Amino acid sequence: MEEDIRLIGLVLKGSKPAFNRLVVKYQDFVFSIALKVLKDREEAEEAAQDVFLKVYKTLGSFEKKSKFSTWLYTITYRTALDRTRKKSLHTLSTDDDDSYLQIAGAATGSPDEQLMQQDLSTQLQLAVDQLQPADASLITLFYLQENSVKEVAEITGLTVTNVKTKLHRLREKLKTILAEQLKGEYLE
Amino acid sequence: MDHIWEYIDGQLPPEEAAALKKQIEQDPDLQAAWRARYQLDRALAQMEPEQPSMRFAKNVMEKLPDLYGSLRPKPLVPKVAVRAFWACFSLALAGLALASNSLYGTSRVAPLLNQASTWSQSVPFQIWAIVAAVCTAFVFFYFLDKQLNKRFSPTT
Repeated sequence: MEEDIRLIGLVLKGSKPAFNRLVVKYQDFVFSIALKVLKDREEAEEAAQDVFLKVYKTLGSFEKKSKFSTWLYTITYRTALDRTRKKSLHTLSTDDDDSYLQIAGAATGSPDEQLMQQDLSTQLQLAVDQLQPADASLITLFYLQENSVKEVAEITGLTVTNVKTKLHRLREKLKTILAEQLKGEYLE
Repeated sequence: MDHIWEYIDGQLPPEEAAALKKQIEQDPDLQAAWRARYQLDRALAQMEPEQPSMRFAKNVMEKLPDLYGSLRPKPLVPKVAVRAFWACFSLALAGLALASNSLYGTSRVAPLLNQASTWSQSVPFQIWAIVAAVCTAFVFFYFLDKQLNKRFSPTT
């Protein structure tokens, strides 16, 4: 946090290397959030670049009331969602629509072969990818950099209660998907 | 099941957490439910972030506009010193003029200037000359500093 504030101070004085350090520090997280929303690496990379350019242009307006990372992820989340809307992808809530979910790899190979070939983290990644973009990014925000529920609420613009409820439901959903993918050998 | 997630997230009040822990220990079904969710929670927490292309940071840096100017070295002469200099310089010039006037002829200027002339006579001419020389040197270094600053500071 203090390191970020110091770097921001240097950037505002004109130091581009300081901004480079911020980019390197946060690029993976920004890209991950964008990827969860956009589901396309190329598009996510473009969005992540836009995010850093926006951050650079508006760095002077960062009030330091919240963590820099929270501010950065808020911009990332909104930029990615805007891009999704522009692409006219439907982003219905998980609460309203379950049809988005499909079982990954259900059509290819036997369950035993899948278990042999793919480890749990891959399966989990596949399961998260099956969630709707906004929901997948919610899980990413909560777990990737251990943001608190309050910070996730601030980033997404949802209420704390809403974030808690969504996280509970999404994780239940993930559990179901994983159980299906791993045919009951893991998670019940 | 919401309580189990709250328990795992550490969001349950201590007494409720303790009660649920006891229940989990005693009830095999609840224990299985907790274990499944706990494993999922740990697996999610261990997920690695995705990585963009190797050139990502370089691409961003190449697109950055020049907004904040570049870091300029601090001027050698602070602003206060510059103001003080101009005050001293003006005073020295005035003093030099008045001293010259008192040395080389009768003053034909206004009475106020005559008074100043009388005061200036109390200060030896050499002192005024030294002050003027110091001020001139100060001016020279001030403008030299400005020019060097302009020339060697990074471009914005």
